[in-house]
Amino acid sequence: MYRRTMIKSLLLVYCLTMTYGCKKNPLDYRSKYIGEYHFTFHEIVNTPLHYSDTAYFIEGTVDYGMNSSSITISFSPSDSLSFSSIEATVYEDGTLTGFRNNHGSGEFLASNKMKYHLQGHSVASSYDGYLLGERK
Amino acid sequence: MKKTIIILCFFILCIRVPGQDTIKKGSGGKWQTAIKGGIYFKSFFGKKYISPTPISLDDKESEHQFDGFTKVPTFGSEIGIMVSYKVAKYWQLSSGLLYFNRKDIFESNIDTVYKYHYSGGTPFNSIIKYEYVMQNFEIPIMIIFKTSRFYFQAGVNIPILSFKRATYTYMVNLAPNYITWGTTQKVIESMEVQFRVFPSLQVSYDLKINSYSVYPFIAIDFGSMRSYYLQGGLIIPIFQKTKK
Repeated sequence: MYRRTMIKSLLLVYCLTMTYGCKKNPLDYRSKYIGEYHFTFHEIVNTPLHYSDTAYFIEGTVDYGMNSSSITISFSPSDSLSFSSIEATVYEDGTLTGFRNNHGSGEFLASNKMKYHLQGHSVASSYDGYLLGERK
Repeated sequence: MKKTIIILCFFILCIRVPGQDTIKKGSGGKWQTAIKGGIYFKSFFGKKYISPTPISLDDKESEHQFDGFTKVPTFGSEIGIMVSYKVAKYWQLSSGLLYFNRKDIFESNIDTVYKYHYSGGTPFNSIIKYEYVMQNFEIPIMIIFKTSRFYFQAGVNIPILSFKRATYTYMVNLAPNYITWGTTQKVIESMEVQFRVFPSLQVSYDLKINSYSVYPFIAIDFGSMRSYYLQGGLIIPIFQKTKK
């Protein structure tokens, strides 16, 4: 009787842990990429009146995105950047592409390392942002 | 991971000898603990080629991920501890914990991927081979029908934890001016919980060697995508307890 109760309790604990125990959903292929990251962001802005080449070292998170195949890369603090987050589509192999109208591409090199290239070009100006991230 | 498995194997070998002594002393036990170890050959029912199907905008990537690929037969191994309980004269229930090394390989060739890639048929990043190695910890739940020497089992293997190693082989253009295709690889490792169940059938035979019991077995597990795992190996009882 005692043994049966113990087995039932263990099964219940296992099910509850897997369901509610952590934010990550172990059944979702994106879960291996979710977490807190150190980012290096290298930004090159080139317009007829302005040129800048700046590197930022910032903290941030990779989290589940707006739909079932996207992730959100958020920066904190984001004051120094002109945006606070990036949304990207992630494929099972870690390849990243721009989400909706974003122009970006990149990949997760492993489950804890990523790179992403944001770009925008017009006739006279260009914007390139190179993001490198490593999970803490 | 490998160290853990080696230590587990060593531990199992150490307890086997005193365990067998226990079996010789008792007979007709209600509970029985055994070590199960074996190898498997994974193959498929029907054709191995996965024919491409029309893609609509609502489809998920995973629904067409392996279109145009060929499923590749693989080999692997399993080892674990099984506990069985006699519920009636001919019937037993069995469960335990198994380490199961399962592999899934899908491969294509450069010409096929090139054709689909440039006809707009695939968004899958020029991958020509997917290789997944899952180091699974699984709980088998089996019903056993016992005759005088044969044991017929039916049930399921349920993975509870999986250490997954995915190796992606990509087609890349090595010399853009001359279009020379080559390959590159990327490995992504992760720990996952799989929502899968493997139905299983097994037959084992009570083979007495110098009064020690050894049970050779053959088994078949049924997986996804019409796959099956044909298994063979040994079950070695290590402990048996009679009801007082």
